Amino acid sequence: MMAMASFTYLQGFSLPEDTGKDLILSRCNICHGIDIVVNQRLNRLGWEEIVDRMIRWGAPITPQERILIIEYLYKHFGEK
Amino acid sequence: MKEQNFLTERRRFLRTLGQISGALFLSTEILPDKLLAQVKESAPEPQTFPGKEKMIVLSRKPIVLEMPPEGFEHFITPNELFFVRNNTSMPELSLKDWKLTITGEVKNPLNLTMEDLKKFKEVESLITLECYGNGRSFFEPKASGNQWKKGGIGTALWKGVRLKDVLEKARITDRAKHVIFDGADEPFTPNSPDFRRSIPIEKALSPETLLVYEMNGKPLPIYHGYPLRVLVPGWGGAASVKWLINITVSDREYDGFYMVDKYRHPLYQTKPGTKLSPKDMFVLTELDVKSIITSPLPESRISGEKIVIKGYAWTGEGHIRKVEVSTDSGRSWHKAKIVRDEGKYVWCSWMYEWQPPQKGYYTIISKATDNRGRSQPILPLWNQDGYLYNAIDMVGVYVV
Repeated sequence: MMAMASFTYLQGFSLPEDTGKDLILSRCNICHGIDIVVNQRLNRLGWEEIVDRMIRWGAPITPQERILIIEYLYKHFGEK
Repeated sequence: MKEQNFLTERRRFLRTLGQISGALFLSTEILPDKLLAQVKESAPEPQTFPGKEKMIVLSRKPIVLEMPPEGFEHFITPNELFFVRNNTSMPELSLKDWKLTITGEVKNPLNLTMEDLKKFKEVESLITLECYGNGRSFFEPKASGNQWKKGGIGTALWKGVRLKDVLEKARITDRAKHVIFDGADEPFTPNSPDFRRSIPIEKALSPETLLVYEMNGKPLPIYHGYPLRVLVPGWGGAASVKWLINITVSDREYDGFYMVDKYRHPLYQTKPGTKLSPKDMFVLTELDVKSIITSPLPESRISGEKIVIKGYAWTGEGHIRKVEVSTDSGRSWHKAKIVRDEGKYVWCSWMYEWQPPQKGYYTIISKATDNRGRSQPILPLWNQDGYLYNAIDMVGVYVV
């Protein structure tokens, strides 16, 4: 039941379809909602810094995944 | 006991998850569906926030709720409107299992029930609490983190005991330099840091630093740390650890993630957008001097002979000495009237009656100065994590 509720919420938020979306849903969403992601606009350095900090904090993200995640975040939630 | 079982189960699950995700760290594969399902089940994002229905939701996991602008109508913020900033999952504790331990650099370690704690002298204090990140959304370039506007602040009547009295009973040693607080909350993964923070012994022994169990006449709500939290007045909310279960007196500043990687501030001002490493930053302590305009609301259309401009002002370790208001974009300044002043560590409310000379668009500005002569800066003091936003407040209005 709880998992269903969570799923409904995530669908409602609609991260743009693109390479990296599934990684964000599976990795980042372990510890925090995606609302804090979609509510921010950061430059590339800003997103890099955040993702690296999350890895330091234990986010299970490989070096290859890191690149895809930063790319996705900057493309869709970059400070333009 | 139910809660205890829940916690044990949760720990076991998180350990398993840690082993799996630790292995995954080395591979490039996507998490298996089965594990993904477990992850979602382990920490669902709440859809509703009972008792906090009117709040602005900044984050559901962890729970971060901002007070809506109408909350500023109350000098004492009702519990339903008080901001929430969690970093972890919110533990449901029951009093019969709960205990507070005091360990570390003490000659007489303590293990207290709530009943034991209430035998210390009871004190009641009005204290304003502000999130270090309040106002973050106003920084340019954008600073990372929850995008607070003005509502990461509130004032409540707190009831509890002095931390100093408890530490005196525990008899701290000569080596005591810092006091570390740990709550019963747990991080979302076993690899993630626990929320633990420390304050210097001088602040811990200040008679105003409290351990509180009541908020505005009610038992501390779960959002605010039931059954017990620290209340470190004049400092950001993160210092006031919630769901408190252990106090460790230490011979040094705590060096966990929430001290080293977060809640840090630059030792010197940088050009906006410049990142610093932790060694060029210090652990945040007191709040800075700040005022906000709460009425009229930004971009509102107002009319009338007299317009009442209202707001609040506060500072960290000190008192507000004056609040000045400009209604002409800062060309001229007028002293606002302090309406309610409850002393140190409590915001004061202020007002200024304004007669607009004619219709048009006006930028109203407020600026506070404290008893140490610190004034609000005109431009925000940018820092990468967006803490301590305290630039002069500006509200544009249409006089029609």
